[in-house]
Amino acid sequence: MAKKTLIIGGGIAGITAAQKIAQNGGTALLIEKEGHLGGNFAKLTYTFPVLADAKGIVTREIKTAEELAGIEILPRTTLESCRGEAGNFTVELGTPSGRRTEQVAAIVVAAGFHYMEPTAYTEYAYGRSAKVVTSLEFEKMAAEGRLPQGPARVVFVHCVGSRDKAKGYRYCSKICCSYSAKHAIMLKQANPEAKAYVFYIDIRALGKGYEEFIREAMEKYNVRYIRGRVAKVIESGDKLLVRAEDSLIGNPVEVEADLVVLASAMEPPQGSRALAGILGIATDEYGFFREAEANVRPCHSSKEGIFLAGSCTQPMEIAAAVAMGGLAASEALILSR
Amino acid sequence: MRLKIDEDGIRTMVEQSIGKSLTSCLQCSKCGGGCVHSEEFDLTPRQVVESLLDCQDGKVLDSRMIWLCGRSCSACQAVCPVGLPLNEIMAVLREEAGRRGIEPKYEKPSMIYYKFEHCAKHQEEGEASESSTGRETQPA
Repeated sequence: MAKKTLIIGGGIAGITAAQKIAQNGGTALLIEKEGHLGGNFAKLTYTFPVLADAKGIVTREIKTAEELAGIEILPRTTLESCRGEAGNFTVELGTPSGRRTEQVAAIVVAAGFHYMEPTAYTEYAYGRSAKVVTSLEFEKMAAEGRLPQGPARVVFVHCVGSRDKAKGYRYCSKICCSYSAKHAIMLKQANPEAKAYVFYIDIRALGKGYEEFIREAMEKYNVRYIRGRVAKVIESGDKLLVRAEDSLIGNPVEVEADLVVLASAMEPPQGSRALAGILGIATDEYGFFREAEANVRPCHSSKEGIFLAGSCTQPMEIAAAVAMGGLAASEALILSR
Repeated sequence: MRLKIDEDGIRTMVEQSIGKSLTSCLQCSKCGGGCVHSEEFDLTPRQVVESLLDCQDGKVLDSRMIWLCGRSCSACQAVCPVGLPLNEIMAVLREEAGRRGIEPKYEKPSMIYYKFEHCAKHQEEGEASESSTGRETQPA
């Protein structure tokens, strides 16, 4: 019988890796620290660049994984220790019913990412005004039908924590341009009376259908894009004043808003360095897991037999996380025969 | 108007004074959006940096912008994602303008900012800047 593969993290990358291992004759042990599978994907209402039902898709993928005979799913479970080498690891798991020891041939780390909490951005009145929310909070508002009603004006702010080495991260979080466009479209669909503004430095929406998606937001949904990073958000009565420089006109501008949505950075999953310590693998300067070689071995960690998948390696969109989950699964299968 | 791009200019002197390279500027324009003098800009702060990179020395030294900037204010620097000390850059440029005999385009703000009021002014955002009410403005 094939040896087991341990998969750490039940988001879309981990679910995909587990499915592919089981569908190809292997056995997967999928552990998830939360009580349910789905990860960050499960917090979304719609996907981009195709506005598809996110909840429906993730529910379908979870169901497929649950029904496959070769997958054992352990919720509320974490990795406690790891010994051994490629082909023969001994791992100790902390489960709700106590410790459990397992022998596995390979390990796939699919620990996901965390949305940065923009508490350092006092200039945006985050935490001070209830009308300044993060994109993740906007997703929740949309899911619960709490989006602004009537002729409300909503301002979307790009690059909060990304491309900011003073208060955040130097890197670009890659997906914010696209999900902000998605949010603006969601707003306009739910409330055509609303006005949407997006403040950007430059638009990074690369991939099939992405450029068209952004153009659709501008042309079909009449979302106004203004080039310039927002400088400050000022509370003014029951409104918010958003100040920036329109860097195309070269002039400071001001927009009165009812809601400001901050596109906060994707950061490494919480506890990524501790997990890397247990596994004995390397992380980069930010805490993302480091790949052995960025171009042709993106899913190899610094240790043989331990593979990486999804946004715990770098900010990435769902499609890339799925592809990487599949690649990690095929690498793991080589060791488990 | 077509500009002639050059490689030799006061950029080097500015970079030596602040101990940082101007190439770190992202051109995100966050600096200009929050300045209390934004009503009075001719060039915006990021345009000053961009112009310095292309060695448009005359354009920068003749601008009003470099004189608007308060010597002890650091509001833009505090929010700059790459930590460029814009107020120091403007101070260096004012000095150079002085050396070249260029008349100050706007002197009052730096006088105001030597006093304590400048702190209160920055805290009370949303109100018109003192200099834009006309009281403090002097002909350019």
